[in-house]
Amino acid sequence: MNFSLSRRQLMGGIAALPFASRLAYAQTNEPIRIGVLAPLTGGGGPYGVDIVKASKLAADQINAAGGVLGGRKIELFVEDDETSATAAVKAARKLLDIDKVVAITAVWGSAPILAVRPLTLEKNVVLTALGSADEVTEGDTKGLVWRFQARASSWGEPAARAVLKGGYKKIGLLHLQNPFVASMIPAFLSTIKQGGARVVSDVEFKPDQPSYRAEIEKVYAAEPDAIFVPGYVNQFTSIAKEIYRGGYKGKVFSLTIAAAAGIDGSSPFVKNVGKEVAEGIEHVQPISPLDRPEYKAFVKALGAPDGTVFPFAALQYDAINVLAVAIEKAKSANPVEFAREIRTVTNGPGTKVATGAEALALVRKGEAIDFTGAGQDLKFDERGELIGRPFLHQVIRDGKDVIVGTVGGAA
Amino acid sequence: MTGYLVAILTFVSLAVLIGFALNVQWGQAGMINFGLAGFYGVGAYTAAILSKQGVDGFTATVAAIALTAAISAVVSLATIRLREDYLAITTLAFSESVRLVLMNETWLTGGTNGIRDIPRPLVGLIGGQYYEAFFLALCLALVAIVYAVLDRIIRSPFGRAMRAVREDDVVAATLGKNVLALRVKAFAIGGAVIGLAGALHAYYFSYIDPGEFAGFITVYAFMTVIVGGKGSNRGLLVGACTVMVLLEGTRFLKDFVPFLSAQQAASLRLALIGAGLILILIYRPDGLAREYRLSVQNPSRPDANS
Repeated sequence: MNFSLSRRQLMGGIAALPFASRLAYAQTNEPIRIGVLAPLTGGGGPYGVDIVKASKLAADQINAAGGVLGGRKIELFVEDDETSATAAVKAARKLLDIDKVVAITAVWGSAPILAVRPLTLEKNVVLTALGSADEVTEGDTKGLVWRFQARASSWGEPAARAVLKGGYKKIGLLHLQNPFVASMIPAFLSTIKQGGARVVSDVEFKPDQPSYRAEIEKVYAAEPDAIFVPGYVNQFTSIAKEIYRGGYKGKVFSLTIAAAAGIDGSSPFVKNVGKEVAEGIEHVQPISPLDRPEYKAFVKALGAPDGTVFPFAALQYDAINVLAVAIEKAKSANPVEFAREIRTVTNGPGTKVATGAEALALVRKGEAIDFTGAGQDLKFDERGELIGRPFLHQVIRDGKDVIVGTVGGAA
Repeated sequence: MTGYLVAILTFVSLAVLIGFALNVQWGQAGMINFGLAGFYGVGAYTAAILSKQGVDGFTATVAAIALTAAISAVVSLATIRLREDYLAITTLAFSESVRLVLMNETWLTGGTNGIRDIPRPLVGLIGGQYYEAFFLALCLALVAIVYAVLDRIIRSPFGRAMRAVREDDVVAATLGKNVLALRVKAFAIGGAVIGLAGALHAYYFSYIDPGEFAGFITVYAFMTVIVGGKGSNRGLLVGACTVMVLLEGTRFLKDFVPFLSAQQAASLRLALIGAGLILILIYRPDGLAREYRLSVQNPSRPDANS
């Protein structure tokens, strides 16, 4: 036998595993550690950069205003969840066991959230999520799981309202077979019915089909005035092309995640299908009201041009602020204690304040506050669900997104 | 800190098990399996679905092992009429089919939402507090058992026949070996180990979705085997640790380079992992250890003369 490997080498390899770990020192004035587990690579990659920037902005502003709990700073620990459940679990383990964070924030996409949730619950650490799947806040959350995004089942009603606004009477439904989309369908159907229109065809399609022609023919067989196509961008790209080629008449509605053109027409959807195909497609999605002064201030502080749409970053900015204010309110960095104060500081009643610094100043004085964030006027229900999220309704004109208006505040 | 180490060592154990499987299939029998992720998914989903139906953890794991082994045997039958290189394509296609089934057969697999709250075996008995440590001990014990079993197989006449087929199947056939049977058996043995690893994955994460059983699992497994030394199970132990050090160690590195933005750091981390592997392959092109070989320098082994 010619093994060039000794037991000593083997043990050395194992011992070298945590070679660069930083030890946590117990200090009285130690910073409050908050984890930012964002999608920096993988499918959520395009959003991750802004999410991290927004987190840092919030932490810097809070620290500049004197921090929390008598001068303790907020320290962020950023990890990449690679938009994958397995990678998210590894990163979360590091955040929980080595960085000893009191909260893991910014988790995006249902798979990473559902994978990380059992770990944070076991350690009694707060989890704030930016994903929509209904399951995120279901089951026993110990009051520690908070969603800074609209729940998937609340998307159906505003989408139906956007369709009804156009005065269409015969609606076709062509939807992706997927739990996220499925949970928005019942509310969509009932809202359409209440609005005096009717759904004339209801067809499902599956992801990654080579062609959607059969489904499109089926949905148009009943001659709808308008069709609603909730799904993701890759399927919607093929569907939009086939509808255009087929010469079907009638309005097409979708979700902004699928059909966004962007204010400058730079989205992958428009690049792939071209201006002609995209013309007139309308789309809806929960979004921060762009004209709110708090939102404008946030966009400016982030160094982005006025009117930029941040689907997730504004709410992550709010999440860091809310956690800091709740910690101050609870006079404790213990997650179980400060999680109880999240609704107290966001739902009021109290003085309306828009920035973390102002909110902290009032809370230190012992005043009751009603924190309104950059993303929206924040309100939570008892399950940690963000309520009243406004939906933005846009239409594509000449390859660019034009705002039609807001629909909702859905409950 | 301890919790993190326990978690990392559990990941290493899973990586070692997958590496063992690849070492039998590719290292010993010369059959390239680019569809590891698919077989891993079959194991994980079998264990998860059965456990959700109330089957106990042991039975579900045995079922996962049996099913993955059986499917591996069937897939390897592709080598009847195809040159062995084509097995790579066949397995790749198999893995893609598995992914599509997992995504679309919602009634069985939960579709893209995956399966959550998979019951962990014996959790009531051990208690949540010590479960992580218990699970690591279980994984390490299984690694030891699989190592011992595979070691016996590799050193047996069957193991020699496998290597003979790998080196030249025509010569092996001329000498009266049933090449097809050997290949099917080797692939099934590897499949059984992957099934075991898949079941452990499902229990450890207690949440699975189709996205996890993607190509990167296969890539990490090949990395582990190549770094450890193709064909050597002992080298594989070090290989898996080295790959995990690269994957996880780079995570801490970015805490010391504060001038990089978060995304630059994340991308740099992935680049460093690649650079580390390239360096290993430049300086140790055959991996860290060599495969078991009969050798005159070591005549003490009684089976060396058989």
